[in-house]
Amino acid sequence: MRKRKIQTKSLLAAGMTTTLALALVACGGNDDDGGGGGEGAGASKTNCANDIKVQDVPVVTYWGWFEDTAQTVDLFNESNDDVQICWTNAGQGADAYTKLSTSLQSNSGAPDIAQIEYDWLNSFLIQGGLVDMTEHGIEEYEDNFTAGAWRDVSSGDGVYAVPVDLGPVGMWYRQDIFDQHGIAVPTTWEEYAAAAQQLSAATGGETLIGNFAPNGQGQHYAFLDQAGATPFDFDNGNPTDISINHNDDASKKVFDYWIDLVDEDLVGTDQAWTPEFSTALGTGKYATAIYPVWYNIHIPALEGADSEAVWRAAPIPQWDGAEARQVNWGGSTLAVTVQADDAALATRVAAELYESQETKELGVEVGGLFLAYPEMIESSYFQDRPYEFYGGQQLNKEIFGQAALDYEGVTFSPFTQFYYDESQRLLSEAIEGNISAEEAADELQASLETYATEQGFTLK
Amino acid sequence: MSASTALETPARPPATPKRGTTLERKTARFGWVFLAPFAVVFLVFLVLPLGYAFWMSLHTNTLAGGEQFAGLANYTRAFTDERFLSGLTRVGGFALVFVPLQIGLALVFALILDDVRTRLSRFTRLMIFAPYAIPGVIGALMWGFLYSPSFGPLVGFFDFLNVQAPDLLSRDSIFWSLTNIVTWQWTGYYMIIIYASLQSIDPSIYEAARIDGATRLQTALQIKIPIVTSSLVLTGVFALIGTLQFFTEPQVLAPLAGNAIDAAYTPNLYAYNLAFSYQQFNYASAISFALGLMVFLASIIFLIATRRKSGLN
Amino acid sequence: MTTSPAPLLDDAVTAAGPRGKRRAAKTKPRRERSVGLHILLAVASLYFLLPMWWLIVAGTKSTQGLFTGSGGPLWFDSNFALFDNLQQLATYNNGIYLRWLGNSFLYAMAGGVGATVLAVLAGYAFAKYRFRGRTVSFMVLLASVMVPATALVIPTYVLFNNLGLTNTVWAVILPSLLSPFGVYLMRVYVQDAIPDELLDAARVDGSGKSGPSSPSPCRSCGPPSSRCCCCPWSAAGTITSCRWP
Repeated sequence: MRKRKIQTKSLLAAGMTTTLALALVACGGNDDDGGGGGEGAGASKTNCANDIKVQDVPVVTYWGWFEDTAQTVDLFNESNDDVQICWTNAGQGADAYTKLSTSLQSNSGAPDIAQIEYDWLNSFLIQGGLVDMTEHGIEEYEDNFTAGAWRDVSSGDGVYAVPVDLGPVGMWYRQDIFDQHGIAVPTTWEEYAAAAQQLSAATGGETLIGNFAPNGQGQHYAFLDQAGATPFDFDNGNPTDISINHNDDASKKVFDYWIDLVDEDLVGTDQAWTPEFSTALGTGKYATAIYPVWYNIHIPALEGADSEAVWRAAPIPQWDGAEARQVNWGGSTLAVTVQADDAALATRVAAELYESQETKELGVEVGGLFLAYPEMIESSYFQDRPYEFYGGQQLNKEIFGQAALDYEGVTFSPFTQFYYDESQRLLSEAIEGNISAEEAADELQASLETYATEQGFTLK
Repeated sequence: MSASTALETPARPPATPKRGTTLERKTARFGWVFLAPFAVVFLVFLVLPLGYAFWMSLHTNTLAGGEQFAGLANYTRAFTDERFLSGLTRVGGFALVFVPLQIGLALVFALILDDVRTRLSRFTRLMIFAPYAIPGVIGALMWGFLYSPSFGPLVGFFDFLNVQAPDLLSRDSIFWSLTNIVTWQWTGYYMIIIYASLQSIDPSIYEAARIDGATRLQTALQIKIPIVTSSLVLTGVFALIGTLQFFTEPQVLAPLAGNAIDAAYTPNLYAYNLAFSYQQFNYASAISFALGLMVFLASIIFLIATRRKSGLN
Repeated sequence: MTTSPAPLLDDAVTAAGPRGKRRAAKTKPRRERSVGLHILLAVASLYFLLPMWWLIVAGTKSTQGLFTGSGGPLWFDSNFALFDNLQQLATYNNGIYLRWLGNSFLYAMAGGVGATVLAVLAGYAFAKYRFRGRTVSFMVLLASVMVPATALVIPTYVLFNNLGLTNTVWAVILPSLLSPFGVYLMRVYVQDAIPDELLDAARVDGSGKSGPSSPSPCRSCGPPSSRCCCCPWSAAGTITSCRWP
């Protein structure tokens, strides 16, 4: 009796489980009936998040995470009948790069076009993962983009990606806090440090001028650029040569400046991109954030946001006695990988994806992108855009537009993540007080040189 | 062996002097039949990739150079790599704390739950095991929030005691913060294994003990523990292996505890970052195998030390 | 263990008097209430429950309430936002979360059941059959878990690419069928819990050349099998969330 009861119960359980599993396989599988793996090299051309509008034409695979991508791709597919894009969102930033690395290493599975941020291009380049677009006539598009953006996608004589957007850096600040304590908006770093003193004294250390994140990554690179440092000099024309300069006066000046502020408890040391930092910024613990234009969508969404906060933007402080220098943090490009079946076609698609005015506006409005096209930057459509949250301030006209046009471009490290990790490690040590800012710069230089030599580079 | 064969049909002398009788050989062959499904999956999805990974570890692929065969150069590099060695020391330290703590707690709880049979004990059993059902990543994230000075209850708790709340994600506290997370997550799993062994003990032994006048404590110490020793060794080995391969919690907490957890905090994390952040897949393979070797040695030492009690001769 | 029973019998039994002695001797699971142990259990429950409770409470709060909520971190906020949050979850990116949940469920089920079946069979084989190569196989099994899975990611990816199985559910399910811990667990358990005599008796009863593979050993395998099922469940969940690109 008991045996039969057990059997019935188990059968029932097994039956339900199987049915459920089968149902899930049926609807949880791929949207189409292709469903197979990659045909030879390259990502699957049938597993798309969008619809292919025109059949029997070449398909280009694309991994991207811009907010507007779904609509942009649809728009492209509708307006082109000789090529179609098959898009998937393979994750944002580091997640996508992991997958890209893996597929490049395994010689299969990589998309034709990949969204890659500027600072990662050299790292993929050095692995031999990107196609040189000059072989497919990319030069004709050069004038569409700002000088800085073009420099960032070039290496030596080659061009390895098409710029999409930029991140000109400015200073976001709490107007209400400044007004409350009678602080003038700083325009130089010296004024910034003075404001830091003033604010901390006035609030007993409750409110600080800002935050210095050990994992600043791109932000720190922008600071270094602004001070005139060129930490890396690398060009894919001579890929085994590299020049590393991370402990020159300019670099030390930047490190010294911020570590001094930290030592005097005038800035916070929260890690960036953590809820800790967002809450602190939202609840008014920090009065400024030196972030690019794209931070404009993050600020309204800060956790614990003070409902009476009044945010405005101002240009980034400059170094006293030095020429004003605009800098950039972030922004992405579209690169063509070596696993593309038809690199010329992929190059064309990448170059033209954001070309039409309609797509550009989509990028601005839906994607929140600050496009790297001067035509867009200087257009009245873009310049006159008021940003509601910031009291209708015309951010692009007043601050970021010119900053982007003036940005000259930098050279990024060919081993990005290692550089960022080492920088974070040594800055943490400096923050803890175990080493001085100058020692941090020296040790970083030593560490980078060792690594470069290990990796077969010749130091110049 | 002879007792069981006595019941079977008298054996013909085997064609070749192999082990036991023909019947026994035939039934022994069924061992492979049972093992086959697992063996196939094992060979294809574990041994084969491992072989390829080992092959990869014998090559170097520098960023500026190309890929070339390098023999054991990667291994030489690994064992002289200061970051790998300090990571090893660190996980060794973790193992010395985690393993006794978790097994000890698991044992204590299993004994108590075996003894006390009330609704509270059933509820507790469920509560202790429940964290295991939560994926490691989620558990670490949850504790990351709990440790946070902005959202967590712990800061409020310290305020209540009028004590300065320690930063639980700082360098000084991260070791114990991680210990707490791992203990919370895994004690239940080991406890259930030990509990199940306790459940399978013949109750007449307890009768005999009670008649002999043993207290509950004595029963626990002198009867139950010796009987479940093989389970303890089992869980001990797994805990040891798992701890030496410590990965999930440091990786999840690294963005929140950037000062405390660097890219080479544990050897497994180092291998992961080498592969996916620095694109050094070959060296990452070598580090993985070097770690595997260390784990193997540690397990051997552990098993030899507990040889007589393990039931695995 | 001493030889004089009277003074060393448990307190409750002596307290219950002579009749109680006889009654207590009959009841197998002792029902004494040890306050100390109960307190310990209660504290343990609280400790293990705390994060999950926090998670539940946090799930009912809006973002605002999470930081400046009226009830503090461990109690509900005045604004009960559970349904808002759930709705946001369900509509995020066109309901992708439900799909992910379904996927995880599928992987857990398939992986869990599959891994259990394989592990039970294999563990049983190791415990009860003395076939050639048994010890070596077992050593290989144990050694295989010692190399961290990180090393396996690229090779597995290449393997699945060659098999044409990337972008399918099999890419996750197949590796998760491997549960060396499960095999080990089953082997130890089967060794202890299923006596050889039972098997021989079954053989004599003529359960066929394949040996006893049906009811009695399977039933005895019950408890650890369900535990085996739990391990891959969590394992499958974790693996999908973490490691495989």
